[in-house]
Amino acid sequence: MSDNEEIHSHDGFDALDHQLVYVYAPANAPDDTSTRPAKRRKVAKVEALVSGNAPVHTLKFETLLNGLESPECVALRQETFERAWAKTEAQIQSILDEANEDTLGEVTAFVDGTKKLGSFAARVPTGFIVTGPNISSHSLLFKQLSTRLKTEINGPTVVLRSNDASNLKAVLKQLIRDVTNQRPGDGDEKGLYSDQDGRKLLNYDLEILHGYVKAHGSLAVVIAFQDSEAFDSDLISELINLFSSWMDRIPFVLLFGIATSLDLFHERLSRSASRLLDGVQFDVEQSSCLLERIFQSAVAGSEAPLRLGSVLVSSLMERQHDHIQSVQSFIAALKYAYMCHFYGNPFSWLCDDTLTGRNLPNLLRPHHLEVIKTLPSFQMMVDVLIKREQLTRAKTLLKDDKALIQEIEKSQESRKRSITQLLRAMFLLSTSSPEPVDKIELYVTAFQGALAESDFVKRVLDSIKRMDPDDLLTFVKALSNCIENGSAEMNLVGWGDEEDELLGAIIGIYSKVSALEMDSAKTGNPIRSSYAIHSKGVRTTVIAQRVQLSYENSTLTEQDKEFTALVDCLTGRLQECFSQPGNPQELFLNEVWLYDWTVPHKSIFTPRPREAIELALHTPYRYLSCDCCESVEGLSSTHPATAILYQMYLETGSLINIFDLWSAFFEMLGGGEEQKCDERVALVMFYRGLADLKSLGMVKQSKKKADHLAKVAWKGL
Amino acid sequence: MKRKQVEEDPANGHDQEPSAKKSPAGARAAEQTVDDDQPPQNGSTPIKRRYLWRESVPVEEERDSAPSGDESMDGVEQRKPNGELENSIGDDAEPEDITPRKGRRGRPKQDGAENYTNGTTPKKDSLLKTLFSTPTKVNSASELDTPRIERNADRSARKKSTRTLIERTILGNTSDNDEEEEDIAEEIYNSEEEGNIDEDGPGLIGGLAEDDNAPATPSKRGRKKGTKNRRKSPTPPADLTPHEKYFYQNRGGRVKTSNNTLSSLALLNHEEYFSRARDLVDSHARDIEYLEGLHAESFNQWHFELSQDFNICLYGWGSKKSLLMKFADHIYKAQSDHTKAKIVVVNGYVHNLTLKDIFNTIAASITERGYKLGSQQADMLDNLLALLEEDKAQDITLIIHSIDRIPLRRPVTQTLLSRLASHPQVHLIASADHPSFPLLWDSSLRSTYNFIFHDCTTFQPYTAEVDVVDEVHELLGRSGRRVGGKEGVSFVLKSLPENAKNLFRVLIGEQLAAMDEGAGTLEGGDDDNGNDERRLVGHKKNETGVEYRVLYNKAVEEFICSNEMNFRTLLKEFHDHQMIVSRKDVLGTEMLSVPFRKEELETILEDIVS
Repeated sequence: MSDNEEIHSHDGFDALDHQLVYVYAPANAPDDTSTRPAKRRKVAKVEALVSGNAPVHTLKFETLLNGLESPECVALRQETFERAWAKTEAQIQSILDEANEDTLGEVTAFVDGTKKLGSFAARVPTGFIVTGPNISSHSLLFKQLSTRLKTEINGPTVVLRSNDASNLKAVLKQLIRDVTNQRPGDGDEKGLYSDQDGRKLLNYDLEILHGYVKAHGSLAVVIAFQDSEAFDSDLISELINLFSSWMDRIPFVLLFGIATSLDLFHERLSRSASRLLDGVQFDVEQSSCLLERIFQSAVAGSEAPLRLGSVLVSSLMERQHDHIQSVQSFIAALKYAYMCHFYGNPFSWLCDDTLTGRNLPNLLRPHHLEVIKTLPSFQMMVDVLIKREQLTRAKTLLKDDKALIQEIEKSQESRKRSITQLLRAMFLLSTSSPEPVDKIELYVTAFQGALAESDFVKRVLDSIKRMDPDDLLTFVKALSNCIENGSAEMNLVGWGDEEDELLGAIIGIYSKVSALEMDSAKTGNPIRSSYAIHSKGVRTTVIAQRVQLSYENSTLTEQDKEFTALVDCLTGRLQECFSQPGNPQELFLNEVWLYDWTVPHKSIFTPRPREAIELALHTPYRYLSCDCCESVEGLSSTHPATAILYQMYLETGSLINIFDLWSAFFEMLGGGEEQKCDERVALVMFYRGLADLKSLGMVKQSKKKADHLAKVAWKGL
Repeated sequence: MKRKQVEEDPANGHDQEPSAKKSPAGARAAEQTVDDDQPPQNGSTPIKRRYLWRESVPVEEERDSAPSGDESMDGVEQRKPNGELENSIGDDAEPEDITPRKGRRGRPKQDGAENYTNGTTPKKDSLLKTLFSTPTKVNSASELDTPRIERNADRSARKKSTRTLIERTILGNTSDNDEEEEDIAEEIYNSEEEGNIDEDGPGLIGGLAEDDNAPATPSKRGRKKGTKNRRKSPTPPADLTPHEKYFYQNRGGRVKTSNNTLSSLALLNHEEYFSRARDLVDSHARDIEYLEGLHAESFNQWHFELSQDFNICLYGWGSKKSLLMKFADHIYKAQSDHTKAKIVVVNGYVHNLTLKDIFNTIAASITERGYKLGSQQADMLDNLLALLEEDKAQDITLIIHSIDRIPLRRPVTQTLLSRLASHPQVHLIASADHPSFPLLWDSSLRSTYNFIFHDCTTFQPYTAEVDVVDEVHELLGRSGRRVGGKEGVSFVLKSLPENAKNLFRVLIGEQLAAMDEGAGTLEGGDDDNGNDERRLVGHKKNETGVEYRVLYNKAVEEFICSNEMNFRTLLKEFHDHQMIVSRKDVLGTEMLSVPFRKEELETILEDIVS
């Protein structure tokens, strides 16, 4: 009771506000009876929906379409999300594991190898792991490394980070603590801290480590410096000296993670220290490479459940390059795209392939169809129909729900085909290109529907035209190989059986070219295509060039002409193959499987808090959307106190007289002559605003003059 | 307006008249001297200058077409009406019709035409520091043909008065006789300023906070440079880009703020603040509530994001505390098993918060009490994570209010927190208030945190997060109020031994003496302005304080303490109660002072003595 009174007397003061940390319990916790049954009901419902998939928490997706969406669809969306992401995540994880696998193996072998040196090596065996500048992926690598080493090497592994320890003593303490804690339940840690003669050892005495090594028979003590550049170079030198002096008793192995280069690192070490090292260098796969592999599999892969649109991909890549984001952050962004798509798109469940034909008509409700009719892709389809003057078809699609459902089913089936076609074209293009292709860029082009006209295609076709028969033969061979075997990276299976025509044509060309080649070998006349001459002649004047060309043209043999025809045929085929797949953005129902919305990603991963705060204070009605402030530009007495002060603050110079600020503020609030506002109340608001500005780091006390503030922040800078 | 003053002070006006009528060269010379003495006082008002430079471009074309020679030849009397006109239409929308064009006309001639009356411009150029100085000169040039006499007369009066004022303040050699003179001088001086105010349209007053304040209570020092500079800098043009604005507001030259201090304002104490703040009705309460409701609609989404191993960081203006607590409620209701799933709330703004508290509370929430995590922070985290792993069903939702406030700002803290947050069984949702909070985290920390950011501008006051009164008093340099004002000091003193009381008495006495000394040198016998002066000096003294050695010696003399140890112990007590401030001055000597104003010190001293 007295508690209650207390609360009332300190209205608005909550003791919990000033408690450091507490476990949350809702205010109405005691009367559980009222809340419990409701909860249970909710749980039961969800359990039924997710069909026996016992949920850890009763989270479920929001009901979309103004609440009209059926629970089945909601559950289906959630289920589809979980399945789709689990699949993609597994793919990514396997790539990640694989990527560091080589490095891990090498390092483990290296550490293993040091055992043979025995305990009398004069130098400390050291591995330099050149990881590249992306520091955020280092922690993953070193985590993998330490788990790997712990299992495979008989001995403790310690990973040191620069912010763990700043001086020698702290490093040693940390080192010893980590080593001795590594085997939980050994129970003899206490014993380690005292010597045989019962002397108590200081907790940074390497004697402890020595005792530990002896007790466990460890063959290597691996010490990894995760961010070695961030350590003080003197500290590292000292450590190396110390370790080397203990080498006869403790088998140290050092690993340095190096973000810059080995040379730079070497320069930082003292000469005496670097003389004590016996180093091997390991290179880690660079994150850009890794990123491309992940992209190929998770976004461009044939099995990817959700595709990212070209705009989103290019903005993601830009972020990746501009801010050196890690691979992890790309994965997070990808995951977020999945989450957005399935959480917010009422048709996202349609992108599950297994669903096709199962019970599509049952799940598609009238409101779904209504919404589908508003989709741009539907409108585009109808537009196309009208242009082709298939008016009745267009009409039925608009009026007859059954026809629409059929169309949807059809699009479900055709979708996979057209996407695969596109991916195949992309794959062929990237393999047949004379120079390596940026696959992500290729993807962006392809998903803009601009593949056929792109530079990639032009480059490939030009290079084919310039080929001599030998090159052409190898090229054609590689091409047919690709078609037959597919791509492991993109999970493309060979499609030789499906497209007999293309493959047949290619094989035909191959045999004909090889026959020509045989002929020419006999006659001794090299075969050239008419294109090849064009590019060869280097003549200084235009006229001379023309003369040369017409001469060469006239001297083309029959075989040459035949070869030219074959080249033409091949380029024609390829051209057709590249231009066949349409623009994925124009496919009907592409909204279902194509996610191309950059807004959430931008605001969620690259926040602009300062801008938000400045906007809020400068134009409060943007957020408050109140009637009183909206019409007024600039300062207004209706604005919140801090906003008024902030706007005044924006106009001041670098020094602010507090009294003047206060009188202006008071004036603004309508104090002054009208006395709309009590001075003390205005002062309270002034205090609040000033304290807010201070906590935003915008003002500080100025020492230059009495009762003055110094301005610290400028809007928009 | 100006003319009226001239009439009031005819002697001064006549002083200048002859020189104006002299030959052009003579006039120039006269002007030059005037300008040399008081460069910024070129008699033009800010508002006019503003008009001038705004309108200068369209007017420029006309300048050559107008004959220039007649200017110097024209009689003064003829000009008079013009001048009147100019003065009278100062409020009108387009006074530039008359003045600026002429000014413009004169401008290009300055270098070439020797016989042009106004030769002052180049000279002044070097003296002016403000950005928009050129038009000013132009206007002063234009004065030649319009209200020259009045201006000059006026100026000379002003010049004289300024000199008197300067002399008086610097030398302090005023007598009672001078007082009258001074009043007149001040009046003349102010007259111009008042004119400015009147001419400043209401729209412009609102523009600069200092603009409409500074002239309200003009004080002597400001007159010397402050006000003049201020008047030279018109309201900045509205649409400057941010960087231009920065340079505009940071341009060189003296600061140009008024010398008003807060002494006339009774500051708030905690009690008054809270009692009034409680009654405060926010006119936007409904809108704010609506805004929070909007954010609350995405609770489900946030929950989904948390469940997908993302952590959430809310930013934007306004306290997000109540929003987060509502979210906690939302999660609590969604959780099916309250024995395994816990919600831990951290108030990141409480000053004595440490990581240990967070770790210990989490550990206590999932195990029985008394579980020992260890003593080192890193160890504690490792143990805590191991503890979490023991039962995979355990699930911690960590809510951190104000993750970017001082208690959690250290890099080590952030590293450990990020490691905690990256654990799959820990879900972190935090709020951040500072506009540059992302600087807390480098790319590696950022990827460990795996944050998703949401703009949650709530506009709610930071009632719990910010101790408004303390913060403001710190800003105002009145941290002495921490102890609770002079009442607090006497309360503390009551509980201290006699020696401590004596020491404090000595300290205050010394400080007051130092203040009087400092004030005495400059103050003179002038009672009228003495208050103002004393306040300033007093404040300065407040900053300088009493030398440590001096105080110690004094204390030994008075048998308050016998050795330095003793002395230190006594001082420490004061330090603990924030009753004294110790600082190193420029020479490195330790200065002690009591952070109160003179009047307060006097009453405290009376309290102690009585």
